[in-house]
Amino acid sequence: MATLETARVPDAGPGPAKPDAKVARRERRNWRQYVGFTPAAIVFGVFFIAPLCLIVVYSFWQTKDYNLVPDFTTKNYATIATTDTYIKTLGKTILMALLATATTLAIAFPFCYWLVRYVPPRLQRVLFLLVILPFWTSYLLRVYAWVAILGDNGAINVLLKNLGLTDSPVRLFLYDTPGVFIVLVYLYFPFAALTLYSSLDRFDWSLLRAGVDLGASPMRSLVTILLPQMKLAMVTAGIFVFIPILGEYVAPEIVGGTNGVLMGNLIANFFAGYLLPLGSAASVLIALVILVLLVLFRKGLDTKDIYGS
Amino acid sequence: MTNLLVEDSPASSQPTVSGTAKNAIELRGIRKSYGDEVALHELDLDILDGEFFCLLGPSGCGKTTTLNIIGGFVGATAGAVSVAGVNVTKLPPNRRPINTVFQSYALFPHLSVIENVAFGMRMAKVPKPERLKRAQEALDLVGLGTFSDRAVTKLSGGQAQRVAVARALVNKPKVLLLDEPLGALDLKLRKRLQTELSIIQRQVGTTFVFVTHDQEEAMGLADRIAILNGGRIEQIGTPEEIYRRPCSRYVAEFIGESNILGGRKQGEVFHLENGAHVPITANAPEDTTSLVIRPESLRITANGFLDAEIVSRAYLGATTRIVMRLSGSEQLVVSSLSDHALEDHDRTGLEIGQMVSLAWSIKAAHPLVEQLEKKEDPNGKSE
Repeated sequence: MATLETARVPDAGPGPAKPDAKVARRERRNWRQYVGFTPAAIVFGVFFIAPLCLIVVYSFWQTKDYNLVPDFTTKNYATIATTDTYIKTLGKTILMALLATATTLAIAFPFCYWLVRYVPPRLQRVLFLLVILPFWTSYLLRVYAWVAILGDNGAINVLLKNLGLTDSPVRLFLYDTPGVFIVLVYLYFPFAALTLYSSLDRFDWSLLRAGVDLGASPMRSLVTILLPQMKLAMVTAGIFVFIPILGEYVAPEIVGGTNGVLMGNLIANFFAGYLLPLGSAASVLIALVILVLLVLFRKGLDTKDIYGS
Repeated sequence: MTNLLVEDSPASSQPTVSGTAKNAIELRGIRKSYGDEVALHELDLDILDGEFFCLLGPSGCGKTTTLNIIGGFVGATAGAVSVAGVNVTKLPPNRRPINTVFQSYALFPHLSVIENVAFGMRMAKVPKPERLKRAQEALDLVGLGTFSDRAVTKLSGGQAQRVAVARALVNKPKVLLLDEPLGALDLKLRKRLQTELSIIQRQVGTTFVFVTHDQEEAMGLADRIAILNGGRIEQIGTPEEIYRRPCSRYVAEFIGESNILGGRKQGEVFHLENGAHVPITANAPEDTTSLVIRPESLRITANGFLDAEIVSRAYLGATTRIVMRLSGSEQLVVSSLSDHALEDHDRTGLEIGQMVSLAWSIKAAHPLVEQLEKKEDPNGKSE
């Protein structure tokens, strides 16, 4: 089938052998058109790739009397692998990121679906602005606002007390894992919503009509027609949310207390305690988790590229 | 046949049809309003089993609303829809034995051509081998047998349209709805697909309900046409009936070109507004208010019924279009001469400014009874 296609459309792929001079000229032009990337390449090289390499190198060094010593060792990784708390925290961080990402998507998808499908365009823009609005306020302010909501004298506890449900403040939310979870979902919801919204906004809703016309119930149409076409957007949104959550340490620091500690807090503590190699090793582990995930998702997407030209 | 202007007694307007032939679709007293805006007024319509039926009219005439009500995508404000004798008024689209070819085709971009065609059967839980076999047959039917594994995003407009037809027909619907399916294609391709659609329809024998605003397309495809105007059916009939015997000025002007001469009947003479009088068939109604004469029926002769002055002349190949102004009036009339007829005239000459005499076969002048008062407030439009 594939050969048949290419045979029928000969000019679809790269053409057969062309004169060498032409190829050379084209290649030179190809090289030139990447010149525009230089500023970005410098910024990324100096501020991203170089530090990353440095971290990888540090993770194999050691400290002696609070000083970094360039002696190769795998001790740092061994320490993390054999220390119960570290392994548990890493596992907990991954689990937290997965759950928070899933929850964020599960809230953002219906929200965007409803917004795009049932809300008139003008109101859509207003409502969406409200979603984006938190981006314009300070991150810290938003996290501390949650302390006010979840805290001992926060909105939830005052409400519970006034309803007569409790006498003493409920500490379940603040300074524990559930609080971190709630705040993370809140913080990253706009990222997911933005991605899903732009994708849903481009969706051709007449396809659902066609699905119903062909005998699918409205719900079945959503599952068999809309969702498969949202796969790319879901994965993109998921990555946008998952990766920053893996590295989060401010929110757990402020609302998590001692029980809500995530990997980010450990790394911050390592660095604060001049344990640079250990912190670097932990960072590399997080980066590896992300790398593996990205490769997996890319593979899953490439085979069925939805927006193939 | 009958000039069915849908009037106030919907129940009695089509008394005979449902008994004799099997109806694929029966619409009874269908009304649709959006707030104060009335889209359809008490519509009654019978579509026969196996016929190619066209709903024709300009945009906003209610043809798409009618199609959507048949398909179940829009609920009627009042009235009933039956498909193959079963009342489906309350059924959602997925439970009606109807499939649709959408204007934009609405092919699923995440599925291949054959997966698109097999989608309906997948929903109906037809086993996979059978549905692939039937989908392949349907693709063969529309001449795309070798395209099954293609991505639908890589199809041309004409190919996508044919996949849409295959995807709908493969489910063996009682009725196939087509919502301006050729509208997005260029003229040449449109002509070819019209022929193909008509061949496919005869092959499968499914009732086709085709919505279009293109009168030529409707004339070329349909067994019968319903002409809609302002949410009412103006006339239903075969293309010939509608062309030769339009029931109203609206239909006469919408279908092809018409010369409409106003006047009043007196015996076998029709007195025109400009003082001339022309013959009229004896069986024309006494209250005839105008005559409809098609351009190709209007002959230029030595001594005809009417005098006119040639205003313009355009050679169009197969025909030549001659526009004339009637003597003693500002009205323009058009004659369409065949190339053959033109050759005869060119010996005597048909120059602009020349006075000529017009004649026609008496039968070719179709009488119209226009109720002027009724025209003033035909449907109580709020504007």
